[in-house]
Amino acid sequence: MRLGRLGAPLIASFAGWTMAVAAAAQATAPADTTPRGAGTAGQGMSGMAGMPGMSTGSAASGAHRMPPMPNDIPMMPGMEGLHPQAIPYIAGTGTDVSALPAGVASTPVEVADGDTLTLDARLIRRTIKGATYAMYAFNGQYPGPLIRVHQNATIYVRFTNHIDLPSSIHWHGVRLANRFDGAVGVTQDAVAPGGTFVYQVHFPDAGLYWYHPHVREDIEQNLGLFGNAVVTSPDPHYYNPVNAEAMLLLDDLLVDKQGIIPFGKDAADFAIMGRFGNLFLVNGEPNYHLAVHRGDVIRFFLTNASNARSYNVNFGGAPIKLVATDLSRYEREQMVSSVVISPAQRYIAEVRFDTPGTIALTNRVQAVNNYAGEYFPEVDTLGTITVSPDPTTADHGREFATLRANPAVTSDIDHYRPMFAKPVDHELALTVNIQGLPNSIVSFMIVDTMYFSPVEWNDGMPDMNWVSTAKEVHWIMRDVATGKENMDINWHFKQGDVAKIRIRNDATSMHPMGHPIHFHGQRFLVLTRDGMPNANLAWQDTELIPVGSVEDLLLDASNPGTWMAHCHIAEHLEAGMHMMFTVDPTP
Amino acid sequence: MRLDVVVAASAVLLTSAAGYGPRVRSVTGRPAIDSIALEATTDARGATGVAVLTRTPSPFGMSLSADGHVMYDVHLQVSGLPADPHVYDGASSYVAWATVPDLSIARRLGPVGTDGSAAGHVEWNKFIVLVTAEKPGVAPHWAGAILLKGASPSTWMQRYQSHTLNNGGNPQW
Ligand SMILES: [Cu+2]
Repeated sequence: MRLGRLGAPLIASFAGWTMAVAAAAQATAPADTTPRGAGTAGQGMSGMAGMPGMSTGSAASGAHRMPPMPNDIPMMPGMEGLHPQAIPYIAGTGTDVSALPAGVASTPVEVADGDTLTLDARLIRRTIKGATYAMYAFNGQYPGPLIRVHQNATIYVRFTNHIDLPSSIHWHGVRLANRFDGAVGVTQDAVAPGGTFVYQVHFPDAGLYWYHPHVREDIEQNLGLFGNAVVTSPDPHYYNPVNAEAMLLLDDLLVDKQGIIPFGKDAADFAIMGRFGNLFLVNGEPNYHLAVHRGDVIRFFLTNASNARSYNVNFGGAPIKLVATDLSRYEREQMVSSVVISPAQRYIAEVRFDTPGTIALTNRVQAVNNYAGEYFPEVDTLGTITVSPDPTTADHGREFATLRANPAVTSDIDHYRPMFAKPVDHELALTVNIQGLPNSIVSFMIVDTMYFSPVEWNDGMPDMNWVSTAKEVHWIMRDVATGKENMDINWHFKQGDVAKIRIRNDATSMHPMGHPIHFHGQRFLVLTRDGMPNANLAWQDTELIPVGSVEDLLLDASNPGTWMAHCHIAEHLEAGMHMMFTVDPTP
Repeated sequence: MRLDVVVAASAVLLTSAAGYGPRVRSVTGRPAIDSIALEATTDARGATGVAVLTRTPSPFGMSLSADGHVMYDVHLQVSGLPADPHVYDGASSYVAWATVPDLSIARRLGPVGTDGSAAGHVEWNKFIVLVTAEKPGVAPHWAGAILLKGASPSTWMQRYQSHTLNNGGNPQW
């Protein structure tokens, strides 16, 4: 359900978006794109709720189709006939989708130290809300298998690529040996279709991690190639006692009544803002549901696998205790009113459900309509949680009410505290260079650039965003000292160095945007945000840098090798926003 | 730390927090994303001020309310107001407020101290910051003269035909 701009619930909207029904009458659809609102006019606000979905026959190669425009955001005049200047790509083109194996839900797999897991990426058939799509999966599962390992385990993963694109597996947040990091072009060549690569994955840190391809994430990750790894600490009291644990792997897929909106084969489309989906999936399902007892405390493991969307996750007002993030617990647990999670980030949060009833698990943001220059409240239902009136069988209310300090985290960080005041070692500016987009888009954007929200929680200009590709949009990480950009940057550290990295997100570019910046193979602390010290530290691998902000990170350069650092908005990565750094081993 | 922010910002509008040097800023006309120039009304000619917006600290970096509003701490620094607010119809103090563009809701941010500073908290999409002269009491809405006024940077986001043309931006494009 999504609330309209006046707060009134819209009836049966589809997956958080409604079609711009009113606008459909105002513009002529381009011949080679799906008319905005086509097939929905006359359906009122029901949008695509009854959409027939893609035929189960041969997946059409098709042409580009404009994404459905959300409610109240009309297509810009002058967009008619425009489409991304890239070859349209649809997975499984030419194959009989009905003959593909049906995807199945993710299964946990315990992998012992020294054991080998096989991950086979291939095409599957998925039926979501009555529509059938050709998608990708590891071992036929959506998401991929949930890998459970003990801290300090080393496992082997035999990856076979049976999709039609080159691929790899990156072990996000895991401080493993460099050559198994999966960063195509930096740590390995892509695994060609039909090829195999064996990853040796060592898990030195307890917590929540995830894996995904590191080539064309905008397509491969979007279509289902991702999964979680939960690394268990030997300390039985590492977390608080809870009644149950639950995975919340968040994702959004962009579809219309014909299927998944095509990708750009030779260059990523949606290159300005990234691809925001209109079909929300939790653990690969559109109707996530969890049943709990009154008084239960549930430990949720949240991962954002979306290409571009940051979420503000609500548990219907139930109290939320934030316990851990990317690579560690926090120094101190704290209560939060929601969980704000950007692409690739992870949070571990405990929630107590005291009130019987049905709770909507929602994403609640203040969305922007760039056309109207206004905000509107957007509420996307991600799933439901039913709280039965039966009381919990084991009441952990007392532990839940206690906000624990984690001295082990603090004493680890204490080793780094003397370096907090050190001078900045490297400074990065995040910006964008846009060249060659059609005049109708550039003209609008020039006028539309007076203000940018610190973070864009929705796509407020889907038509213009869609047309932009990595051919015109060049996202930039610029080394301020040398002026070098993106892959021309290769910082050098010695193993054991502790480096202060300052990142500024340029608010003056043509389209500034918040960027979730990820450093591979290491861990960092966020020391300051806009000069304000971070009072409750935890080890991270991904930090969202809002528009106009300056943040200081303290990088623990402990893991030798040449690594990638990049924006985790998949389309920004494709549009150039990645660099290298090398940690030279100490002899 | 917050004091540093206010002091730095009050010194030079486009100067950043805590010794960070100039923040990434447009020099081409786009307004600062995190500060509001407070302009005097005809009741307070010569007065001036700035309201600096900082992200309310949060473990997530971005501090959001449950319904998704960005939460800002607002730090005001004003100068040039008469030392004695009594000149404004017997007022006893200067008070900082926040309100929404249609003035339908207001929030008392706090009194302006003798050093010209005031602070408060806002979590609205578009808002206006005001300084007024008030008689004793803590009313939920201002009653006295409006002396300084400024609109949040987000109010620059407008319907296309309402835009002031921004000819600025990154020279690269
Ligand atoms: Cu980015």
